[in-house]
This record gives sequence, structure tokens and C-alpha cells, in this order.
Amino acid sequence: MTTPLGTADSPTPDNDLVAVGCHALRGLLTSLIAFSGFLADAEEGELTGEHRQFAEIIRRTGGRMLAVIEELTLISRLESGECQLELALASIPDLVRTVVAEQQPRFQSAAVALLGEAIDGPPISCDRVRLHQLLTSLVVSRLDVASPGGAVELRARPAPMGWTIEVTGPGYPEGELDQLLTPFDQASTPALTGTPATGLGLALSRAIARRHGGTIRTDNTGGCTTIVVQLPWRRPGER
Amino acid sequence: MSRVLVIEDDADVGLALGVLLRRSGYEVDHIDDGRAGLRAVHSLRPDLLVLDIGLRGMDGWQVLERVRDISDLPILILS
Repeated sequence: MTTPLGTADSPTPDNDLVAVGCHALRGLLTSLIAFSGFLADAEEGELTGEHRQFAEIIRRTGGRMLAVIEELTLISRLESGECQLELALASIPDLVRTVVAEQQPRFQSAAVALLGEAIDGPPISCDRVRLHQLLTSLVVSRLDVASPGGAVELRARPAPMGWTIEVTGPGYPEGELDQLLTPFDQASTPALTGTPATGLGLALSRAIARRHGGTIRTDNTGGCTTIVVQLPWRRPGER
Repeated sequence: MSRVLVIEDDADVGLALGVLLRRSGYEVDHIDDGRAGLRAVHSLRPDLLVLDIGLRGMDGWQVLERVRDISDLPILILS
């Protein structure tokens, strides 16, 4: 079954409110991470090992909260058009290789195989930093439903209309496919790998794909879910 | 020792920056107000300015403009 993800009239949050709220939270979290870090890095004898461990947990949790805030801010800016793309020609196969190499340690620690395959093709006009985020989010978000011993595959190939990028991995429950793009709507399956993502990865991927004039959809077959991103050679209106 | 001036109206963030910078070997002055910060740029002659944007009185952009009118002081913006 194939499900298109997100339509032009999908509800969007009040972007100004989100931006202001995120800015305030980011400032507070920065203090929390800094001061818990001072405690976690304290010399032996200044604090007990258990106290330093607690401080480290606060620092790590603050870091994860900050990651959520950063992704939420970016989605808001992409959807409002405030975030301008810095367009240049980029190689999709290079991006696939880069993302797979960068994420290998994370997948190895979760005992999930990460495979990459890209057919050579022409470079595409895009914002390389944002596309790197898109591929990373697509891949990392699969850790939400991957079990140890499972596999996730990132593939890319040129097509007449542009590039097609696919991520195949363990299946999301059928009834949840149309909710995948809603921020914080994580899969009902708990993260079996112990490395939960932010819950915003797919919403961020959709926002980046749309900003490039692309589309994103899911294909659920044989117990696997494939997320398919199609990026046009050029954005609408671009010369 | 290089001198860093921090203009930041959030006391906690200012304190955290001060601790981090002092641990890294810098002399640090912290001012929590844009107008007073601009005066401190003149009087303290820092080697680096760490400047918040959302300040009381005179905001960070105004401070930036005034400082740029008179010097090439390196400035890190906190946004």
C-alpha cells in the first residue's frame, strides 16, 4: 500500500509562536546543559561518582531536549519560508556515502545494519546542508522501529524527473503510516534499540523535501516500510 | 591574558559563559545591559566581545552598529 505523506493544506503550527517559544527554551536549556556539565566534570572528591553520574544524565537529557528544539525551530522556519535555501550543485551518491559512514557507529551500537547504495548520476541543484539533514533524519528515525539484528537500507537513483531516494527498513504499523509526518507522533512500537530519535525526523524530512519542490511518500509491503523521497532536478520557478 | 567582554542580560547564561571562558584562560567581564555594555567596550578595550541580541535598553544589533562604527573588534553574536 502506498500512502502520500502530507498535502499542501496540512495544518501547520503557528510558526511565530513556535519560533519565540523555541528561542526562549533554547536559552534556558543552554544554561541547564552548561551548569550540569560543570558538575559532571567536577574533580574526584568534589562530588561522589553517583552525583557526577546524575549530573551527566541531566546534561545528556538537556542535550536531547535541545535537539528537539533545534529540529522544531527548523521545521517551523522551513514551513513558513523564512529559511532560505543555499542552492548549489551537489552529488546525491556522495551524500548517501557520507550519511552512511557518519551513522555507522550509531547503528553498530544499536546492533542494526545500515547499508547504502547509490547509482551514479548528474548532480542536483539543492541546499547540500539541508539534504544532508534530510537523509540523516530518514535513516536515524528508523531506529525508532528497528530491532537489534535488523537492517536499514538507504538507496538513491537518478530518474527522468530528478533523484529518487529510498529508505527501507522494519515496517511501521499499517494504521500509523498517515501519522508519520506529524511532529512527535512516534511509532507505537517502543524503540527496541534503546536509542530513541527525537520524533521529529520524518516531519523535518518532509519539510526539507517540500522546500526543494519534492514529495515524500511511504510504501508498506511485506512487513517493511519504504519511505520514498523524490526531488526534482530544479525547484518550481528556478531557472 | 586576553580579555573578553560578555554582554548578556540572562544572568545564568552570563555566569556560565564566564566560568567557561575563565577556565579556558581568559579574563572576563560581564555586563547585563546594552548601553552599559557599549560604555564598557570603550573603557575596558576587550580583545573579544560576546554579544547577546535580545538586550534591554539598547539591543544587540544597535550595540553592534555602534561598535562597528569605531573598531574592528571581533564579535561573537549569541542568537
